[in-house]
Amino acid sequence: MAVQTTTLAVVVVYLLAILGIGEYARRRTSFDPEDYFMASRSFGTVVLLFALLATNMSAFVMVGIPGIVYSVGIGAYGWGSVFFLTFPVVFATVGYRLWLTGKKFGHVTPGDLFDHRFDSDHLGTFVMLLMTFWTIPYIVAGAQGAGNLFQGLAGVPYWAGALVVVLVVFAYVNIGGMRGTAWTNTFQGAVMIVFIWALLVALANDFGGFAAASSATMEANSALGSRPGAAPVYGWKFYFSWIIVFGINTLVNPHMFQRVLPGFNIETLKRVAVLYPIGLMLVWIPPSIIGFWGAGQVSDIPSQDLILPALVNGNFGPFVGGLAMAGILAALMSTMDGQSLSVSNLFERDLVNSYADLSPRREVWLARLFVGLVLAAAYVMAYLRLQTIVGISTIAFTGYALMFLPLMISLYWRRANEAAAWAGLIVGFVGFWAFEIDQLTSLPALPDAWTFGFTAIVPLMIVQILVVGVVPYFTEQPPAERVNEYFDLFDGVW
Amino acid sequence: MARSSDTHGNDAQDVKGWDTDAFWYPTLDRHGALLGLFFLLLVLHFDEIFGIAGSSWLVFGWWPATMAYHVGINLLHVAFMVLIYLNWPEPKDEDLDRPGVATAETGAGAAGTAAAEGD
Repeated sequence: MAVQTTTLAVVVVYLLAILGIGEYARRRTSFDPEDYFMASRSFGTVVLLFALLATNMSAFVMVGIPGIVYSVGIGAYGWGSVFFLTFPVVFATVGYRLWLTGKKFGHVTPGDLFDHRFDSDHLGTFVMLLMTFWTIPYIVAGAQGAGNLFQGLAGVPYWAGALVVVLVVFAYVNIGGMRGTAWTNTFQGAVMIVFIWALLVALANDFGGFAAASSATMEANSALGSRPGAAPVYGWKFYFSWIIVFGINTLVNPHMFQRVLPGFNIETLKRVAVLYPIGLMLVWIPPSIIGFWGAGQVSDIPSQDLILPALVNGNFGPFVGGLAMAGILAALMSTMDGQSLSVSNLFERDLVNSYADLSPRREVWLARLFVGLVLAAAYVMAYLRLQTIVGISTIAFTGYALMFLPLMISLYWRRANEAAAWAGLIVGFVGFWAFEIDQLTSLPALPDAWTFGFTAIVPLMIVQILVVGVVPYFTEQPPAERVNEYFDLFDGVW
Repeated sequence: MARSSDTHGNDAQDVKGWDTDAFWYPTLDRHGALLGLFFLLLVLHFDEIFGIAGSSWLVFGWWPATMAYHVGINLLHVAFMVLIYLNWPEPKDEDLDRPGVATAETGAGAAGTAAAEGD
């Protein structure tokens, strides 16, 4: 495919707009870590909603969801959209307790919470390492999505497209910090929603209307219109497993966790909880239907991840191709920026601050350097393309989900202690790789039969519950005053 | 005479005769009812698991109905979150309910004082 200069021109305009917002944010951001990482806890409803929504909606939604629906059928929307209920509820309950601890104790990172709640010296560092471990592959998924887009829509080599996006993200995160990412996320969220709905209408028009577009898919493969859908057939155990993963993993994403923890006004938090499922519907419905229609139009693509670019390429000119790229890049970049910023904050606060005494200015400089290192590592892994976007994302989701129980006990169980948190985290991490190690190495994994038809999350969470429930009865408790501080704060709270 | 109340807002007269230590007691208040509603919504969402009134066959055989069913359930999610909003327990420490305020005990997570952006 030749390089599409019109497409590229539209994308360049979009990238310049993002950099402009980042530069404007830089003028409002000081070298104080509180301002760089937390934007001085100053966001209102609109910015917080978009900061959460845009950073939450990643390549998985804009590239992965159309791909899944394309190959599995419209029922995939059903299993995914349980998230519209479970996450807002987790946000309003567990997230509310997190918000309270952020306000009361000034916690900034998950490590702060774990160390303080359990009176621990090193648990926070371990939490930081685990979160970083699961987040970097997720950033890789964004870089891969960008590379695919540039290749599929603009005729630019995969490696160059991924590199451009990584460099732009580095630039505006580096200069604008949390304020820069939140403001760009607001812009990116708007671009994403407008683009995907416009594309849905345009494609319907091109395919002869909604009914004709749907009929074409049903004629191609009628199984795509029902649940459980086309092969691979997903049974209820599969869905049940993903109810759990989708519901609990998101709050543990450091880029989400960190945007809840700082606090803001309680009314802002409440409004965001109500508005969140509406935002999710706006973002999820169009790519799902587009993927469904794609099955009736395109029968042979190298990867299901490419269905959306293939539809744009096959039906529109380079200008619309550029708008499509901007919309999808908005989704990718708004996740990559939050992730790289939050991982650098974890590094700076939970690791460097624990072992060195730096000036605030040096802290920010070091964090900026770490943003660059994280993005560079992600680029190298994206270049190697070891997994599909959905494959990478689902591994990361499960990893995060297996950190949820230790977080829950810290907020909901008086008797919980440091040993239980360590045990829960280790069981989750080791257990996950015991089931999945054969995906990355030639080592044998635990047999699939041990999951009893569920995904690994179900048996692992059962083991986690047993371990976490027993350990505190045989190990040292944190000081009673510390526990009381937390549970007095939670009195009357759900 | 002033009467003290429990965390559900019930005073001793209200709960006379009830076993307030029973595991089901918390379900008697509004928060418990919301929890029950939450699980009901999960059941509705995963109707194909539970097969309510044979609706799996009815709903999931035709794609527009499949999509409409899920979007309908999504709208119930929104309604549920409105109920959550209306029943949200306020923090007891009033100082916490102000923008840009943190009573930092753990170091650099100190209070910011900037006005809210984006409201």
